[in-house]
Amino acid sequence: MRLIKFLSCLCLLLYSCGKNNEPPIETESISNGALVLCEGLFQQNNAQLSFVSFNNNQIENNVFLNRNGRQLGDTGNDIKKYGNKIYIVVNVSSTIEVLDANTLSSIKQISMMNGNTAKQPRAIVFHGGLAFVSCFDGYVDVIDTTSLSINSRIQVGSNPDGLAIANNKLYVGNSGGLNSPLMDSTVSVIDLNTLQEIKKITVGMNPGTIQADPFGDIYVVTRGNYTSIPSRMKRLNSVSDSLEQTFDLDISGISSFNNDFLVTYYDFTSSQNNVGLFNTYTEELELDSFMPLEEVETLYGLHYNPSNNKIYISDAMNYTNTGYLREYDAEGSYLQSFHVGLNPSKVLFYE
Amino acid sequence: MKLVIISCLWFGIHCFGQQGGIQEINEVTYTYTLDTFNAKNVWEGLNAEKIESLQANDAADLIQKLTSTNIRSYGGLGGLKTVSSRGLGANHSIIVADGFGINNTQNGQVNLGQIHADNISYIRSDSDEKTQFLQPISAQVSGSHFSLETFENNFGADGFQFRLQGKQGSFNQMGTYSAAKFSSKKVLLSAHGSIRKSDGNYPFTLTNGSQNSEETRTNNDYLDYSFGLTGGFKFGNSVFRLGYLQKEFDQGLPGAVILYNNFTDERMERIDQNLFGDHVFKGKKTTFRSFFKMNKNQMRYTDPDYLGQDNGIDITYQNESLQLGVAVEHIFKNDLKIHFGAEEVLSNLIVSDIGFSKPNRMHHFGIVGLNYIFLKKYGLTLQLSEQFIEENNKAGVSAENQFKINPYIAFSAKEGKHKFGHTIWYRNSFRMPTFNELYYNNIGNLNLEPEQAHQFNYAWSFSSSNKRKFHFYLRNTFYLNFVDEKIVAIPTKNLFTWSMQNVENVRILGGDLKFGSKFNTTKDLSFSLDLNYSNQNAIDISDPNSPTFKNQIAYMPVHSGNIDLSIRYKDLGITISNYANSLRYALNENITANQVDGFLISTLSSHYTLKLRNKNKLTFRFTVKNLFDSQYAVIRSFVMPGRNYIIVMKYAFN
Repeated sequence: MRLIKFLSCLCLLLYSCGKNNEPPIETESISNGALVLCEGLFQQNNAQLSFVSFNNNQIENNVFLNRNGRQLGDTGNDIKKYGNKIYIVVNVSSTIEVLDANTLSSIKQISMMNGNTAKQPRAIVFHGGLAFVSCFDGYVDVIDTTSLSINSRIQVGSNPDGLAIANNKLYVGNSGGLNSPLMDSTVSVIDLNTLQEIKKITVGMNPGTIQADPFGDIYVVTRGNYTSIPSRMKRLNSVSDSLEQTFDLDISGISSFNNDFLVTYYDFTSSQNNVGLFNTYTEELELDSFMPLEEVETLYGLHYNPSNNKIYISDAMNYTNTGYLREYDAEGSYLQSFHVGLNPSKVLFYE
Repeated sequence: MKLVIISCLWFGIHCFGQQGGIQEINEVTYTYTLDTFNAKNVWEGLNAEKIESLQANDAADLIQKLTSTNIRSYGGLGGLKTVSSRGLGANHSIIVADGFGINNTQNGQVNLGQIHADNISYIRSDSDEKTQFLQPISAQVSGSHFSLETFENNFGADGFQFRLQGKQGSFNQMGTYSAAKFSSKKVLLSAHGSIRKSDGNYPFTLTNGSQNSEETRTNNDYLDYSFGLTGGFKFGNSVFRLGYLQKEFDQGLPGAVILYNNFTDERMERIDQNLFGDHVFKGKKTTFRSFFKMNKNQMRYTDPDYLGQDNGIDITYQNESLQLGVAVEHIFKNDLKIHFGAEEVLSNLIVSDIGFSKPNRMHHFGIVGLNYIFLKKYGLTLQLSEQFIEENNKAGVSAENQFKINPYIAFSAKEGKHKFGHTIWYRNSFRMPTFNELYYNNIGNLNLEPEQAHQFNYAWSFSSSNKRKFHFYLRNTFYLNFVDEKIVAIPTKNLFTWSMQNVENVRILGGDLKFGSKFNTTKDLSFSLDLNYSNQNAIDISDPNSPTFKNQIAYMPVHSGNIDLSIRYKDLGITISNYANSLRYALNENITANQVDGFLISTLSSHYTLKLRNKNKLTFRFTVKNLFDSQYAVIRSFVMPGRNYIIVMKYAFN
């Protein structure tokens, strides 16, 4: 028996070699900073929040875990603030985490299951006290932001993704991305008074990001099939609900920048990604190259913070290494970087 | 008598080629069977006695007892288990059963969890110096290979032999295995069949931050059955074998444990059919083996809850292959031997998915080499192999053809009375991208290059005399390997669009230490202690500017090993075996967030054999796996079962 104990100890010694746990840093107050949603990787259960304080440049990773004693889940796709609550959409875990915006402690976890089938929520927007969540199972769920319960489900196209609101209507990009190569190519229009789908606009293969401009137009990125059909930006008229214009650029992302857009696109001439300034009034690309991207390995999100008038890029590196939030001034000059979690995508700014 | 002379002659050559150098003659048993193991080192492989004491569920449970192996297990009976040797990656490893390679050109990996251990009588690693020149050429030129022998496909004791086994275990696990074999000096006839079944819904503790909850692994049911027939006969100096083996599988795929969403109903059904045969001619100076194997592997994957289509996913994959080969050894003198051979492997893949390619591959292997012994104590092996791969996609663009030449050189020396041995060798090899890696919709990449491996190895070994009550074996290996243009899946344009790319270079600096011992205190009482320890520093050397530069690559433990202690008293045997891995990282970045805890798994097994009259034996076994109920995962989010029990009753005649 002694021998068995000895051998077991030897084994324990062997397998415990090299363990190294770093003590977590915890930010005292959640203000003047950026709350970064890091998607994590599929099946790793490692979606997380990082908080970057602009006061002292301190970074706290695992903010959700530190405050709630549990993990956020698998693949965090969207984060938005409405009222005094933060809503985090966790796709593979199929949950909406509702947090107190000041303390970041959990108020409720809304399970997004339909029986045994995960709805796989993807994006969230708000209107009139209601939250609208696109779910990959072909529906937009309507959540009451007071009771935090699901009021109804609105059927749309396949694998709905991006959401935007204009002219009292909700625009839903039906990607069909899980049905490759036979992807969807429509945008569903939902009347926010009746909560009914009133139209499907054919826009192009694999619609994703949708953004409304200040003039009531809707811009949608159709991502194509990643091979023969290229990614394009399309403009929709929210009065006639029709496709108005296609921009001949391989655009992959649209972000608000004051009243204009910063668009990320792939430039085939230089074989590199660029950020351009798109004028929403003239509806033209005003600047081909708005800011240098030497510091960025993989541009995964672009965000403008009106409070400090700075631009932030989420850099996903090679998607399997932890990423960075890179800070630029409003003219596009690089300032500094913050090391955050795996695959930083969406950012919520605190004043 | 002639047989003995040939055996001695062969041994004289092969004693220079054993793993870890030169073995003492009485540490090696040589049997003239038609199998391709010319010599069996009792210390290096696992023989029937050790296999019986370990109570393995499958081949992976046995292979993890061999040094420098790394098993990736996704959990559960029949769950995916693959092996990589010396940090090379699972696709560099080939499994050879009874002299026939187990092939899978679709994904390049063999699921060891679906190779039963009940009928395995011997298993060894041929990852070290390669000396088994009658094995399939594809295995000889691979980065590493593992060879196993089964009861039913080899000549055995004269007369009729019969095995019948029943097994019952936790999670409603049950299994039966039966085999009947008739062997004579001229003829082999055998038939066997088996069934394995498990509900598989094992409990586990889910740790989520500071919270723990008791959960149950679901959709983990498993059913397989297999049957086979083998015939063989000896004619003059020739031995012929012909066999058929069919296996069928039906299993739930539990997938990763996803927080807050622990439901899945993915399933896989598979039918695997094999027809194989060979002819071995043993002349005075020349030994010749020709062999063939036809394989048809049909797999159906379903996921009714997949959100892409109305009725979920339902895809069938059919992978067929034909292997044909010859291998020749010729002895010029007692100290000079040449070997050469060729093999053709034709394979295809037909997939029911929309837009999938229809790839065909013709893979040609050629090999020529010599083994020379000089000054009675030094051995030199030189070998060149060539491979030509022709790709043909009937439904689109084909990947590029490949032509490669790979060298292998080994030098051995012995010291003292054959007790010390030294071996140093270099081998260059590669593995082809699989059909999935080249052609799978969106993910596949037609521009992939083969993944290269360079291996430098030095080993010394020492064997004590087994005439004493206590005898032991010690081997120490050091190696430096490089894997260039490693094929990995990485997201490209976004996280939805993954693609296979040749992006990593890995350097593996490692070593292992093996100690095997046996202490025969009395005629009735004996102890054996086997220890092995592997140290594998497998680091990413792709890009000095990358955050993962010189980081340990994902899922490769720096430290791993086994400690097994067996006690045998008359017909009663008790074994405690321990298998440990140090912490690993789920991704290449060596940060706390990616850590996967190390583990220690202990298994306690006991068996008692009741010898009845007329060569009848009845054996009872009782095994406790994961004795200390460790909650662990080999792969993050794929939890393994806790403590579980297996009771076995086996009847054997002859």
